[in-house]
Amino acid sequence: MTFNPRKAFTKPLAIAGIGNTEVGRLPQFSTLELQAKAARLALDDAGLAPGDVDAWLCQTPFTRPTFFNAESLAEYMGVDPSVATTVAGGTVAGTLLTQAVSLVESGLSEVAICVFGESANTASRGVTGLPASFSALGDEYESPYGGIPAPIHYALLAQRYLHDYNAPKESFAAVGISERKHAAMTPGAFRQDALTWESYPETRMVAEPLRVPDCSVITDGGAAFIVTSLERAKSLRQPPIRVLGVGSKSTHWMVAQAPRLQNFGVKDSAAQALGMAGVTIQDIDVAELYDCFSIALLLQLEGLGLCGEGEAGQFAIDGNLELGKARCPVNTDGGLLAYAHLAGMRRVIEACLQLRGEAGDRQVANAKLAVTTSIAGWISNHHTMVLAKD
Amino acid sequence: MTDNVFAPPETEATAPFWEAARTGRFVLPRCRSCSEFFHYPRLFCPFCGASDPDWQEVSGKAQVYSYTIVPLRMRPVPDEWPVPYVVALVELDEGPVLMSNVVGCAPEDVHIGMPLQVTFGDADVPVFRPA
Ligand SMILES: [Zn+2]
Repeated sequence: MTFNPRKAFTKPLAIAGIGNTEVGRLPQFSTLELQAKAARLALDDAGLAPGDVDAWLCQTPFTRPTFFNAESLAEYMGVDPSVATTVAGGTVAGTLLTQAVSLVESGLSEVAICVFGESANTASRGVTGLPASFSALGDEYESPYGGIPAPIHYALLAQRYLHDYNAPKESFAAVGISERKHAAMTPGAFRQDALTWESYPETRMVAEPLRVPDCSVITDGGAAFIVTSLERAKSLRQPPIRVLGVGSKSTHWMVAQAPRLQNFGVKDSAAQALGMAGVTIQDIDVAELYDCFSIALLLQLEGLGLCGEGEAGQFAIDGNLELGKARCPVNTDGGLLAYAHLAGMRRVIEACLQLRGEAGDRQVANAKLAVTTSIAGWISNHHTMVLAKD
Repeated sequence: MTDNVFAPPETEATAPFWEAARTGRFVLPRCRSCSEFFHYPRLFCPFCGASDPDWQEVSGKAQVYSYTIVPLRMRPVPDEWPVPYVVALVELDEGPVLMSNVVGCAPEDVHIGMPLQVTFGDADVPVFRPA
């Protein structure tokens, strides 16, 4: 395994605008319309017009793969940018943010917008999981075993986690219970009903040991954020949020090819991002992590160094994710398990809200430094981003 | 488990694996340079990059690296799929780890470290039963 340290950005960069749509079941909007709505929200937040953005970066929705998504969105918005790029696959927020900061740092772009819109709820019929596989590799080695659905992949990691560390069975429930509390404090969150130690064991098993509350909610919605130089951001409407570091690591695609639990890419992607930012995990005030499944959150707590190896379950049970209890609260809006599945986009937005001091009842006092992550696959590809109040 | 679930893309690099499986034989590519077995079949050895791997029959001995009991059908698993079923990551004695099903025992009897033996039965793919 190779680790490539990264140097600090050569010029200060910032997120100047954020926005996400309502979430839930929104069949009245197409994926493109959800993207357009989100883009408009982020532009209005920054005080920019669509024509001020010279780079439009989009992800092609899983639920309606559209390969010319960025060109379509630019046309829909009535603009003619220099850059219109569509990326496919996961770890959306990390990938788009990395592209945006690269374009702005290099001077190829002045203002870049990253846009996501997905109709996963409308498209889904089953209990959970995406409607089909979009893998370039591996269907023939998984499909004959009924092994394609994402919860199965994470259940395989979860079962091994319990075994390797003799971790408490309540490890997974603790994540959902904590996040549901945060969602109840967050306007617009999809699941605001309580999850309790009593109600969790009554929920439906999806793939042992993971139950429905261990799996992300499935929502329609759109989200966007705008990246520019700190200098330009200072002339705009909102307090700039600095992007101090981005790190990433792709270790595998198929779950059978994954490294041992201890060697997922989280460690390296975090080391890159934190190293770039010149900070340590102990300096972080709030963590907005990609929790597509409860086990994904636990493995990242350990990979990031927020707790020791094998300790994440007990760490969560002891209240170390929770607002009002934790030194560094985790997923203050309820995360993917309760707020919405807007890929990692909402994680970035929530981090910005916390750093701006605009998180209302769930505000982390004096939040100056945040870490956020996104994932593709089964922690196959992992991004870490370090954001800071200017 | 059923005919219409999938049709593996058989290429020069992968066909020997599927052809053997159809006759109940479990073969894997083995690097002629570094001697490692690997799954899935590739044009090059993933460890050292050497081309043109050899094909060898493997013991079929394995153990459960991890598993999950799946009580329901999630997309894109077909409606007629029998539940509950066990999906496992199976670690072969020869080294490679692959996804498979554990059959021939009650799902709740499966555990990590459980010794397994490959079997084919009705399927054209390797599945595993308790050894
Ligand atoms: Zn080799």
